[in-house]
Amino acid sequence: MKKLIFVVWLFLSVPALSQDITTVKIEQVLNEMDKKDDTTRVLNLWATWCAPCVKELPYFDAVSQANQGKKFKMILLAVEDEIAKVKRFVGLKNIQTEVWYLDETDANMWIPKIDPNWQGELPVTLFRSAGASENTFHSGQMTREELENTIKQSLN
Amino acid sequence: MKKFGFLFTAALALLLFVNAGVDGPGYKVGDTAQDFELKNIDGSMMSLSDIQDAQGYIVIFTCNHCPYAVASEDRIIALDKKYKKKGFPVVAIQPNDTQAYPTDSFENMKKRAKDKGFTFPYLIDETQEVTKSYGATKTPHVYLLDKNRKVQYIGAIDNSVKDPKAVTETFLADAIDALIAGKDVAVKETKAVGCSIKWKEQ
Repeated sequence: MKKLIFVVWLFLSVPALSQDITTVKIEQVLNEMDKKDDTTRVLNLWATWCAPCVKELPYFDAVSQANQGKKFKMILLAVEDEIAKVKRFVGLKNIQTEVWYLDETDANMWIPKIDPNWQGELPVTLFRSAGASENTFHSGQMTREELENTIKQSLN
Repeated sequence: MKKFGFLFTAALALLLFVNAGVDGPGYKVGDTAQDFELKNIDGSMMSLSDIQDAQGYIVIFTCNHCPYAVASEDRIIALDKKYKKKGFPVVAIQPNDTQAYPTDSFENMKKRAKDKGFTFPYLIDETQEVTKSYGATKTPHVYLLDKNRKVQYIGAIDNSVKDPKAVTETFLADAIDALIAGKDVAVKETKAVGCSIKWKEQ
């Protein structure tokens, strides 16, 4: 019985170990990317309902974890989603990279603020190298190699 | 650190270059769209010029697999029913690589159209050339053309893709109404979230 209780406790406590998700407005996202410091940032926009997003997220997380300790920060920004679904997915996949939840409904307002040429397709990934004043924008799913090579070359 | 920044930028420039083929400029509002010839779900080849007495065309890039495209289906059918008789028929184009997304295969397109009772042609862009020339990047992605195939509006059907009950702005219907009334389209471009188009491996 004790063993069973322990197993049940272990099972129930797993979601509690998953990260807290930060709810943000679009301005907070823009401010984060505009920080003029020595950190290189990667911002991935995704949703739980988006198939290629969900495919690339585990290796985005792995690559991000592999670069820990460097002046490097990755943020996984969930958009057009429900926070409960995002929490469940992040817990299930045990995502360690910082996950933010965009609390905006007027897509026609916030999409152009991310990038004026972005039409709204998901996923997209933005890169801001340390000290740069603009983001580089990638539309659609990236392969693990594409992501790794971009970051690996930059860390040589 | 400087080296880091330089290499990062160089790597990104390369990345951007590699993707240049996909992120081509495409049509802007005011451009004249080329006609095309694509296979419809009934097996026939179809062009815009095949449509008799059209006053314009509602070209919508859409697909089976994307939840946001699926959420738009009833609205696309309603738009076609309302505006076809006024000379503005819907022409739907499925742009995705069906190898990567078998849900979007030609057979599944036929099945989806039948199940949902599509009232409009549902074409497949097997080479993805039409999609690239339009510059479509997602599903659903709307291009409203006038009878001379001049692009009058690009973007979303309305301001709430996911939840039809939360719609407060009917961008596309407003644009069509303006053209019917012989007026200028007030809002010519809008943005909404959708599923990225799945390009074939180059």
